[in-house]
Amino acid sequence: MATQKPARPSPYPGLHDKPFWEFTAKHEFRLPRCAQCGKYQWPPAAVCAGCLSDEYTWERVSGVGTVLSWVVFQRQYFPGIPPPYNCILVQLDEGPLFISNLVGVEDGAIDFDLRVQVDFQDLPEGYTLPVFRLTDS
Amino acid sequence: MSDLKQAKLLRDKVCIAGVGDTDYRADSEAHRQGAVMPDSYRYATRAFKRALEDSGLQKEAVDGVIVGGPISSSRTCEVLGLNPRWTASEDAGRAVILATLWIASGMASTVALIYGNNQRSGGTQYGGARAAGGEQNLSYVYYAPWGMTSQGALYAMMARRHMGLYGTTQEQLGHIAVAERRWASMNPNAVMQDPLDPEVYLKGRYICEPLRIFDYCLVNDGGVSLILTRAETAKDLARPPVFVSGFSAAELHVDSTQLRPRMIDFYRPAHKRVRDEVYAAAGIDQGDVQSLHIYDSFTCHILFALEGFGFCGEGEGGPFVATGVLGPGGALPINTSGGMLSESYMQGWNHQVEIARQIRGEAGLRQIADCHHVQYISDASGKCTSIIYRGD
Repeated sequence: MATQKPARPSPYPGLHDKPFWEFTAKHEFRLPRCAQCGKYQWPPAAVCAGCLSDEYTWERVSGVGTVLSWVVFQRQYFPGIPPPYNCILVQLDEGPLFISNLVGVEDGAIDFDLRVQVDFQDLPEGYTLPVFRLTDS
Repeated sequence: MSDLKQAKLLRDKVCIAGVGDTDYRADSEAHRQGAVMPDSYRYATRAFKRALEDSGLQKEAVDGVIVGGPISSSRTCEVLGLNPRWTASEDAGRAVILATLWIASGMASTVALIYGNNQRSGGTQYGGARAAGGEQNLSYVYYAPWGMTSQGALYAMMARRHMGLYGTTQEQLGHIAVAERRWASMNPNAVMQDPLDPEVYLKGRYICEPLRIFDYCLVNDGGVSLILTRAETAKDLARPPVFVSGFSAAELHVDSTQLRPRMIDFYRPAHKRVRDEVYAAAGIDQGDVQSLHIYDSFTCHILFALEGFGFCGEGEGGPFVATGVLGPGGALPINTSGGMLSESYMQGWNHQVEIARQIRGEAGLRQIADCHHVQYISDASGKCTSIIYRGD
């Protein structure tokens, strides 16, 4: 019998990525920020690309941002993520760009400059995915 | 910035002596019929043999080898019975540039560039959890938990943003696919030759909206090889020389997994740096370029590069391509073999072969009259290169 493929791919298993997912499991949205120069380093990496410091703080960010672009997948790439589904490009108010999914909105109603805020989906695969929904205001 | 004086010293010092490619169309058909297909080395070595024959040189003359695609330089040399002085692995544009630097500096005299890829029959995945290139470009795999995968999706997201900023339409993108297909219809070796008009394009199914099947390049098997040598020996060659006249390169990697160079800048800072150098290096004006060959894994690559290199204004790419300027009879003939959308997805390598054929006057029905100056541009994954080739 063929091996069961994971329904949804696991987060990238990089050494520096682990804290991000530990925080999302607690429904906290935190990004690594350089302790020396203050630059957000997303995705996490070995050093700050600005000043090469390897000291970070995992800083809680607003989780609010603006939709700059989006796509709607019509082809299936992952068994656990059936099309159609959207992916959005969010510019967080703190600056970094973040790829995610917009929930609670029909794919056909997604538009530029929507204001969105982070939400959390606890997945059966055992991790918590940060997604976005429209802001309350 | 590169030293322009040095760039001028390199001008026309190295030439393409021979080109070879494989039977894209026949191989594609054979695969469809269920034939057992060659591996990447077989495609690569076939192309090399053809390029060597085309050049009239002996394989013992080769003292440098640069490979592309999934093949390794060591194994390729072993298979071909070569003991060169230098080897490397590069993308198409950088392979030509590196070979030129080796030869012009006297470190090598003749360099074979060899690409082979059985990506279709071998089932190479360009999306999904093990997307090809993920070990080089983290963005290809990093967003898999959100379902964001494939280079096509990254380009779809760039295209959507361009539509939002400038009003670019899907119909306009369609003109790029249509132009390349019209060129391909005059290339007997092109995989896709069926007529494509704007209406058919717009009926094409979406892969990742807003990009449709016709916005995506092919995935097919094949090989390409080029033999580069010293220009001063050009008179002894079997074929007319194609000189490497000028080149430049610039790379954007800062925040590339965050997608900033793509989504915010459309790779323009790299385009600009290369544009500011490449024409001066070759000693020509942009208006002297008679045919333009742009890395085109997706239609919108071409639109972004046209804007970035100043062939039209920023944001004006949509209306510009919709004038029909890129196709047969247009003022800026582009990817005249049919490119990677319609001829063959050889990751920029087939463009070099087509450029050589145009300059040598061997392009058959699609030949551009008195073709002397041809430009290649690639910006795949933020690694921008441009080369200007010249004929005698």
